[in-house]
Amino acid sequence: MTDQQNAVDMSEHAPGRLGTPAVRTIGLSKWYGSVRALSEVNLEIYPGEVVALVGDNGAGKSTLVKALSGAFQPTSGEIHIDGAPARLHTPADARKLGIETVYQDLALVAHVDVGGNLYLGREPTRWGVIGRLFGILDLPAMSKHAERALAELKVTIPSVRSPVGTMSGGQRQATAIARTALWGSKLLILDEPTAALGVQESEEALQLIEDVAAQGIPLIVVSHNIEHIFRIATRIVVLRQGRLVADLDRGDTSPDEVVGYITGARTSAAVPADAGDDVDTAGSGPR
Amino acid sequence: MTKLDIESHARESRTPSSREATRAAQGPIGTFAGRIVREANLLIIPMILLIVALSFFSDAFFTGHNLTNILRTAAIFVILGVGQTFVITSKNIDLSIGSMMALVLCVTASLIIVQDWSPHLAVPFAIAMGAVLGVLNGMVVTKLKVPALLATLGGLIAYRGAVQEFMYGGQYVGLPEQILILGRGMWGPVPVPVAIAGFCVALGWLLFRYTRFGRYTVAIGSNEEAARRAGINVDRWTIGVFAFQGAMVGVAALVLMGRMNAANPNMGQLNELHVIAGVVLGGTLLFGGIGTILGTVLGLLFIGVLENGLLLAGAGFYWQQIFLGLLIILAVASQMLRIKLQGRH
Ligand SMILES: Nc1ncnc2c1ncn2[C@@H]1O[C@H](COP(=O)(O)OP(=O)(O)OP(=O)(O)O)[C@@H](O)[C@H]1O
Ligand SMILES: [Mg+2]
Repeated sequence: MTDQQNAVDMSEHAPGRLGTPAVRTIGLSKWYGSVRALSEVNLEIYPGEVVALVGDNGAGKSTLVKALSGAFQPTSGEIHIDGAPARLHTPADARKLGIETVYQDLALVAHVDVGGNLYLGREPTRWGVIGRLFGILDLPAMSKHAERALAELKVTIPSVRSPVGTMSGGQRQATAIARTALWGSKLLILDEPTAALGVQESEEALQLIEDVAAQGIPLIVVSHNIEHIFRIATRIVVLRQGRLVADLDRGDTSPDEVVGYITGARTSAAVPADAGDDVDTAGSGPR
Repeated sequence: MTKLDIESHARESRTPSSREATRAAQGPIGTFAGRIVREANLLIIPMILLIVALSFFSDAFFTGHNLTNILRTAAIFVILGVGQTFVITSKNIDLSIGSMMALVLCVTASLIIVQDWSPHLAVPFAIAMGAVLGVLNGMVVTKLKVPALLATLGGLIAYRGAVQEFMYGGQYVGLPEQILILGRGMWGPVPVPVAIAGFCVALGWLLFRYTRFGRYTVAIGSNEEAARRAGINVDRWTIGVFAFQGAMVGVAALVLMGRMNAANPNMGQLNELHVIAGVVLGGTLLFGGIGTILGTVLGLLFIGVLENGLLLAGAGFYWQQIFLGLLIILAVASQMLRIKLQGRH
């Protein structure tokens, strides 16, 4: 599936990216006081893409991700979803529009079981109106659906009834990723999904990300691990000092080139300082 | 096992392995007794030992009269403890409940005695007044961002001052029959206060395990930031927790009023510490995220039996205070040990 995707992407004008992007940022900027964390970022993300967001510490990756997940409002610029401007004032707004985020620190509740965490904040109720009035949880349905969702992603967990606090880092990460996959329909954002994991656990998380990507929902993955990026990404976007300095197809670039953009050793004439909306040419620039 | 549990077991089609894992996680016995043992932090064992010892050493202990008396006394603390279990699970604490109970009690009594209110009106009034004061506590904690310990310490002092001012050093005596029943009546073989406490426990237990209210209480106490990111309105639910505690204070005030047949501004002093000791002893984690209603019941019964034993042994009120103080320390120390042993909680 992913291989086929790449084959398509590598062809001339990337027909996979025709049509309306699922998510698009236009001239997105963010100032923290006098610090410019994001500068005129134009990015289009299409269904089926796995976009790796890379850059040095302080490059603006988390800032971009937070803007997309509604954690704050950008100083200027717009975010479009399915071609229409979207108002993402709170994380709840973003989630309603189908954008789900796994934060660096996971945001799971240790004392609640796996099923409960998958449904946290949107638990189904039972017994009709009365159940909705009193918030009576449909625990059997939560467990059952959680089990099914995890099975679909081939996540192995002793029981969806065990509290997240009793599980390994990898299992927690899997739970967090499964939660985004369960609810996200437009965009899934993973901030450093493998940063805290061991070799075996990273492997499982990458596998999980590939499985999620195979469902066709676009993903943004923030990572510092070049090897992992080249394994899962279909596209690599480099931020440097708040600017989008490179937008590369995975099959078209190399780790050296990416590192060059990250460190600033390499610059791309194809991405002007105040890039227009011509992001695709940026991708073909270094070819 | 409750009906809910049976249903959930029947309706779920789990794989054998996951069913086994679940059973393992629940301990050797998935029965009601097993649940009590699990939830109550093994408190049941010292309690049984204590009861056995007491019935050995004192003829007065194992009489129906004395046991009923223990239950009657414990009933009020249990009602308060149901609310406090939610508060502590949400990583908060409510020190104001003793003073608040006195305030609700005296205001309600004055409405009945001075304003000639019908008890049928006074009962919902007391519960509503408690809830409103609870909302006030919750607002101070969530909106003014005052830590619960200090916010409700302020409440402890201010509500006590308010009730002293309101009563002006006096007290009311002689309440109508309908109120007395709440503290002294019998419902068949069951004392009415015990039945009321039983109802509150059942309500609290169901809310805790089977509703959003309980789930979010745990989530907020366990990881407030995660709860917020999951879209849970943390402030609103926290205020709800304090309001629920307040409503329980209202119920307890009515029972106490009926039991004492009086309203006195000094009532309820130190009750908050008695209740918190029982809740923590019962297994509710002082650092939030874990709570157990049944454990609270056992913890408070344990303290009740212990105090009764001290009384029968001829120890006075001051000795009871010393023991209560030691118990609080013991309860917290045992939790610290438990956390240390388990690594993560
Ligand atoms: N809350 C804030 N207040 C002020 N400046 C901030 C704030 N958050 C981020 N910045 C600044 O914005 C810039 C971009 O930060 P950002 O967190 O987006 O970087 P990043 O690419 O995620 O880095 P890392 O790889 O270290 O996570 C940095 O210069 C940072 O110092
Ligand atoms: Mg970051």
